[in-house]
Amino acid sequence: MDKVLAIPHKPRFRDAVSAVVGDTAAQISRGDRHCSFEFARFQRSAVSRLIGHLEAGGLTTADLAARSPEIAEEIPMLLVDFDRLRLLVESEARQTDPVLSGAQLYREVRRLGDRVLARVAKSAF
Amino acid sequence: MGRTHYTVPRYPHLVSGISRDGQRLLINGNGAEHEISATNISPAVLARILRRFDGETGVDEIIRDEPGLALADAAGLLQSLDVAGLINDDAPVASRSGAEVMMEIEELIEDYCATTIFRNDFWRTCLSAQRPGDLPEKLAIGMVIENWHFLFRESYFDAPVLSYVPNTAVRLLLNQFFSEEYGHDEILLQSLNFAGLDRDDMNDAIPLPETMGLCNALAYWAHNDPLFFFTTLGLLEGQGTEHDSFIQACERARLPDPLVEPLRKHANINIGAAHGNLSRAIFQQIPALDNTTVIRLKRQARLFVELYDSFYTGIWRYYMSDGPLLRRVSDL
Repeated sequence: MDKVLAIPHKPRFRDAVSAVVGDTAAQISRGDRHCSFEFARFQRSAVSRLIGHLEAGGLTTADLAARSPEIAEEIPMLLVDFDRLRLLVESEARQTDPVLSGAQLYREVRRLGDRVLARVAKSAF
Repeated sequence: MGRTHYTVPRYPHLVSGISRDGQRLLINGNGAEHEISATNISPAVLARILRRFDGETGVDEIIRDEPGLALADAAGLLQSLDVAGLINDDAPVASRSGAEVMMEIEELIEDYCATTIFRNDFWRTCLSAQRPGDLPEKLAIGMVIENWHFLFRESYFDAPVLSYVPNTAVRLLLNQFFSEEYGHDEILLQSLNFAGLDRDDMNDAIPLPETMGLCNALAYWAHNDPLFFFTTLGLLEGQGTEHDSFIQACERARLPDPLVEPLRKHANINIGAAHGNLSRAIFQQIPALDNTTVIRLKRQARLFVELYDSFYTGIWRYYMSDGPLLRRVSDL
């Protein structure tokens, strides 16, 4: 199986997630689970910004990278890791493709049946 | 069959425009030209109503705007058009993406687990084990025995979904998963060999009722509610984890390597193949789920966690007792 899943379009931390950003490391917690990652001191403000954006949600991966250019290259893999650890959810419900009701699908199938019958049902019987 | 009840389209949409030939109202559709007439509706009103069947105006609004139009006559007109294949219903269907729903169910499952499975005697013992003696060897072997019974019967609940017709991408994922999963009971048998149990012994063994209950419930869901069955795979395969807590407990308790090594091999195959992501991967291939389905999935999630909790509690209850390691058919 593919190891990497599609991450949320506009990721947001789950409500139970909390984050503490130190000078060169950040710790993310959700209940009893924790993870941490390190960064260079000059990247601290960008990491804080990213964490803040993920707490608020509503931004795509590209938006997040554009708002924290100092760590833009690391952001996609960071999000994959956060997602793997079940820290992220989708910020807002996304519009799904048009969906047919059963009744409407049946109308279309019936018409298709009529068309096929008209074309192939030539028996004189 | 009982009496059939016709439900009028909420947003009726004629399949083509109407035309007039003198006093006659005509619609070209479904391979023929149809003349529309109604005994209780005047031609002028009829033409006005038909023009409003545009898929954007609700049927309630159309009826409200025609005080002279009886509800039964409107329903009769719509039904006749529908029978002739001349009308669609453009009413939007409320739905959510499978990926979004699965994330929500995953969170529910994890919350339930936190107050059940991870607090039961079996997992408290495993998670708190620090040194030799903290995890009794008989309990660990019992865990392997019951997992063997579970994996030995995996086809009971995987087979029904291998032919999952509604979604080809999902069917392919399940086939790949099964091909990666097949034969894992043989790996656990290597651990059991250390405990002096061979294939003949296991063929003579009776699973605990909680183990068989879990297998049977999963088989029922796989047969009758495959969408729900898909939501269980993530937890069964260790979603969101990069290590196996039971193996770590065995390691801290210094249980013999011939017992633990095959378990490690099995866990690493699952982790390496990302089987913990299976539920998510499946639901990412499902573009839309209606609300009734989402409610049904959530209702059963609780039940599944309780059954899984019972599976571990059953292991604790039996293998911490003085009973024989195997419940044998030959002893009956």
